[in-house]
Amino acid sequence: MDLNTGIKKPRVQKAFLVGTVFPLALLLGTVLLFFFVLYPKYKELPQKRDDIVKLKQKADALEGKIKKLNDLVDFKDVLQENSDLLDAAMPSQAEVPILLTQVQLIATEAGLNIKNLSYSSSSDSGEKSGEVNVLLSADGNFNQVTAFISSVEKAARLIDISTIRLTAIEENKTDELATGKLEISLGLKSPYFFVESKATTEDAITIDLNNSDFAAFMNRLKELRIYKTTVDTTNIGKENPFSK
Amino acid sequence: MPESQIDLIPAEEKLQRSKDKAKKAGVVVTLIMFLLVLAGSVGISFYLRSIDGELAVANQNVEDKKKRIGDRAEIEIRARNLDSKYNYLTDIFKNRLYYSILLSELSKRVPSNAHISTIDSSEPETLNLSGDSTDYVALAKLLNALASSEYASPSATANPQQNLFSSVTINTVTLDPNDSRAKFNLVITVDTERLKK
Repeated sequence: MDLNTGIKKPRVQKAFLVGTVFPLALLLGTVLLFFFVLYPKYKELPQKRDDIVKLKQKADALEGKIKKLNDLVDFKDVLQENSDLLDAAMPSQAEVPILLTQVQLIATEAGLNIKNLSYSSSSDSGEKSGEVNVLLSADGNFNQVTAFISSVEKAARLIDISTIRLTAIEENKTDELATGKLEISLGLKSPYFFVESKATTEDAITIDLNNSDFAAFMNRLKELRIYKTTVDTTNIGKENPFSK
Repeated sequence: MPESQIDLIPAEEKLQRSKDKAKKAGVVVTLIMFLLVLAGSVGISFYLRSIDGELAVANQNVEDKKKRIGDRAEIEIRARNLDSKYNYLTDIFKNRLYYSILLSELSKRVPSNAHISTIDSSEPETLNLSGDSTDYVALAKLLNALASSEYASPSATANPQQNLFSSVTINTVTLDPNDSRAKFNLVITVDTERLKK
């Protein structure tokens, strides 16, 4: 008969350390590592991956922009020519005297006898844009009015007709509308637009000089007649400003 | 008869041994968990470091490109100015009304025995027309001609069914007793879409 003598000696403090404190410390370490290292870093991952993707996309977009800018540098003259055409059609400022000179020239060329040509107002539709309103009163016949309006429509600086009033002055029943004398009153308006763009590295440049619509529009502008008025700087300064 | 074993271990001792076994198992499990979490933490830290490196390279790449774009700021501003003006002007041209079309279309429709004395348009959609005609029949002729697209030039309307003058209304008609002429005043509604090119 065997006697089970596996009676252990009373457990010492070491056993308590190994059996209880050590696993608790491990558990605590695991929890701390999980909540302070693993989980926060895991949470960072998608954001960082997303950041990389975004940066790569941004780099691609910027590369596209660099390519576009290089193309524009190659077509610098075309860019300047187109800018000049647009400036002729739509000046940056009201430029009232030049507008009045243009209207006067067109009216004279059309054969109208100008009675009054006055600048009435400028309406600002925004910080950058506005309209110059001009009132033209003249005498002439129907053909001359038609010629005037056609020339205005073909002038490079954009002038629109806002009001139109034609009144027969004389008894022209026999002459019909074409030859009878008319009293002409036309309201004209000419827009202007001030642009001051900024170089914003991250925004794409949308203009495409090779775009067919853009080219067609520029060709349309080229067909318009530019009435050049030079404002020189000679003969400035007068001893008596009241003398004629 | 089989040899029988006499278990002299007390019940408390057995319980204690079970507890010891459970504790050992607990130590192993917590150790494995700790090692797993440690390995995961180390691994993810290295991975994040490599991603940070990639990010730094990508950032540098973007900054280099921005600098290259910045060197071409002048041409960019010119291109943007051109773009803004182009967009603004295309809108204006799209909606621009060509009154030369209106006058041309109007003159084609006035019969020889009618006479226009005033054309007045303070609103693009409305045209006031006054004049006189030899008789009412001549006025009717004028009204028919205004209302018909038959006289329209190809430039004024692409669709023959559409007329520049969408409606013609007689405002007043009076017979002048002195010369027996019919004096009229008409209000014409203009389809401004037909005045655009």
